[in-house]
Amino acid sequence: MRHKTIQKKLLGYLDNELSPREQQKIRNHLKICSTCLQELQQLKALWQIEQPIERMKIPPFIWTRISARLKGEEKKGFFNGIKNTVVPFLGPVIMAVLLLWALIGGIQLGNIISRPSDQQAAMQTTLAENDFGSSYFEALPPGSIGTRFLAIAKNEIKK
Amino acid sequence: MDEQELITNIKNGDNTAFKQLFDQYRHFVYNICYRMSGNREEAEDATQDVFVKIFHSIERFRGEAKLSSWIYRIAVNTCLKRERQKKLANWVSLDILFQNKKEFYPIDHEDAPEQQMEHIQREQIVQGAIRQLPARQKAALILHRYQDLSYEEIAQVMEISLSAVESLLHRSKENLTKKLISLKKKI
Repeated sequence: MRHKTIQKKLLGYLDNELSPREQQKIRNHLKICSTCLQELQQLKALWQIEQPIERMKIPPFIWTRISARLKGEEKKGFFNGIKNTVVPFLGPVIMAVLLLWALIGGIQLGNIISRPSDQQAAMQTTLAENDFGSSYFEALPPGSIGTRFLAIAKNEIKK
Repeated sequence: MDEQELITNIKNGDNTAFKQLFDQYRHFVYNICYRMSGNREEAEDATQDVFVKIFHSIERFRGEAKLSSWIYRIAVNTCLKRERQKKLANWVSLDILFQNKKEFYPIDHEDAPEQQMEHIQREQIVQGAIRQLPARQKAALILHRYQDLSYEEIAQVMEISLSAVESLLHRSKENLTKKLISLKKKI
């Protein structure tokens, strides 16, 4: 094995975690290679030391903070409950209202643009009568909306 | 109070029981968080997150796995998630270019005898190299080396197969050896 291949397996060798064949190969190599042996000794000094787990300092305020977080979440719980119930429906409801508003607005706008004013409508009716003669149209029944509309139109033209 | 009783009491909203669970597992959780992050403040925040998650999800704990394995799993997953978020945040803010690289080891240095200082320094070198490992390799190695978990326990905690644990640990040690050799050369 090459030096690099040997060296990258040294921690595994130290922990005796390689296959027996690999352990033997490395052992044989170390007998004849002072460079790899030196690397092994330095790694051993770093790796095989007593673990100082019991000396890890745990800040005493962690429990206080956890407690405070849990209490804070409890208080928020009621509002979160409402939020969680309402929020999922809020989006679709707003979208539906907007769509309805757009639809109604569109219809209203269309009516405003395309509907002629009363005066324009009356003018058009009179022009049609002049072009085709009043006999062209069937007589409107007396007292009907059409008769009243025609009377208004004629008055408007006279003015 | 035995483990089952403890869990039942926590599920029933007994805060004293939850405090007891915290006292029992805080060292393990804090150790994992510290070794995963290499930063005391980060470890404190992660420890808080872990216990808040435990509190909220204990209702779903059915006792199929050991309580300790379940807590380890929450701790490892929380740390991995925080690490991903941190990487993303660093990538977005480019803070990684300016962050303080100084790392420390949470041992009481002031009253440490002189011979222990060398020990601490060596451990710092190893810690620094472990921190540079890919996240999952790092988690497996920490659970094995510092928490003394068996391969089977690591497989249970990380929810992977036994052969995946072997492979992770094998690769982590190869990578760590390379890093330690290169670090040693720089020193």
